[in-house]
Amino acid sequence: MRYVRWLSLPLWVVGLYLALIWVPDVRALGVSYRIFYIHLGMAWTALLAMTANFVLSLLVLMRRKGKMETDRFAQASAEVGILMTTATLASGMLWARVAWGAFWTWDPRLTTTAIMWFLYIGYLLLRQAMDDETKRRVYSAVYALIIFVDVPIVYLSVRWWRSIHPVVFTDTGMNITPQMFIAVMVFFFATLVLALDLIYLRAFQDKVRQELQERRARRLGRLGY
Amino acid sequence: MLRAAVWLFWKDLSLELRGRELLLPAAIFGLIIAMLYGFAFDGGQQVLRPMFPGLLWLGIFFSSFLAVGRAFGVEAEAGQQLLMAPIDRGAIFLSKLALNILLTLVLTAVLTPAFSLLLGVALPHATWLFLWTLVLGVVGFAAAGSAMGALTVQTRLRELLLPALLLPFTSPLLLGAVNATNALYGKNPSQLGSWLWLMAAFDGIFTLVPLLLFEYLTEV
Repeated sequence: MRYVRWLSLPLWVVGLYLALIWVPDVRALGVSYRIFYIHLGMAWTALLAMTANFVLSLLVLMRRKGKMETDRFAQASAEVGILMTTATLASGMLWARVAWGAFWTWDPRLTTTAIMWFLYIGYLLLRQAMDDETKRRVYSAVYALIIFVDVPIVYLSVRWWRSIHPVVFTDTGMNITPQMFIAVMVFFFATLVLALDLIYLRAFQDKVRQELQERRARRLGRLGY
Repeated sequence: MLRAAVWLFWKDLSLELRGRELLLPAAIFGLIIAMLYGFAFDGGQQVLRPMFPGLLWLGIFFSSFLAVGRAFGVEAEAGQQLLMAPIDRGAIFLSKLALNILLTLVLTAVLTPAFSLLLGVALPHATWLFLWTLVLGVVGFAAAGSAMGALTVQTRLRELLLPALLLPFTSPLLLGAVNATNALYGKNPSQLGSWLWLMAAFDGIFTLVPLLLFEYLTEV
């Protein structure tokens, strides 16, 4: 993991160069569409992080060994997923203001992303509100499984809802050229590596925090407190 | 498992019948919501008619939420005694689910006519389909509420956490219920079937999934 970290930086530099300079403007949208490269990479990474959270939560419940470690990675992937979702929403809203004239529309993808954001914020809130570590691990894993099932249902319901109302904003139907595809993929990998690194770092940090806490408790115990 | 669930359900029901701790405050709260809607949106006007399904369902969800949130709270305050009983843990969840469904159904039966009266909008003519819509919406909310109630019962600030978890979670159900009701009022009536199916799927999935996972919660 130590070496992967250094891969992220050059990927970001190359990705930024490709997205901001190398790829030509799209006539209808001008410069503004270039945010799309960052946006898409982050959106995919966010979905992958949430999927990782689901798989790790499943492992927390099923496996007997290494629950604590798995739980740490589950929490870290949810946190990074929320970070990426927030960035996706923010970049999307900036672009929407320029392209559609409004920061927010009730487009199925936007709405689902927002609800997903709330559901995973709930995951962190639930963890924060539980003191017992064993209980926190199991309860948050069960919650993670339930909300992961809910997200596709949310998407389906919002899509039906929107297809009933008059569609104000349609997707602009950008055709992706090979050049654009390369830029998208480079950015996607840059974000993915960054996310993996952050997840690893966060899980490690949590482990260190816990060790410090235990040592402190032991020491206080020796001192007779 | 079913036998134990029925007995537990009976226990909770007789507690509720004696104390009326859940239903009465929740129903009063629902009526207050209807009054406040009237003030806030100028109840005497025709303006309310197109908004009525949304207002009704929000009222039902918010007041049901009060009742549903309490079901596991009763056990939390009594300590861990219930877990010592030699019964299948799924039975506990089933009994709470049954209680929540019953409570929210009674609540809906009170609030729906009250909303209609206070906001001056007649209920849809297709009575059976409307009842079916109400039942599907309410059962789904009770199922999701039981699951989230079980998850938050051990937390600090239970009452604050539950809405933050439950309300975004049930958003597809709210969309289904409001749009099905809209369809009964003649707005896109052809979509009624899809929305009812969506609600039925939500009800089924979120009764079954928590039931399967409840075992894990009681093990720790």
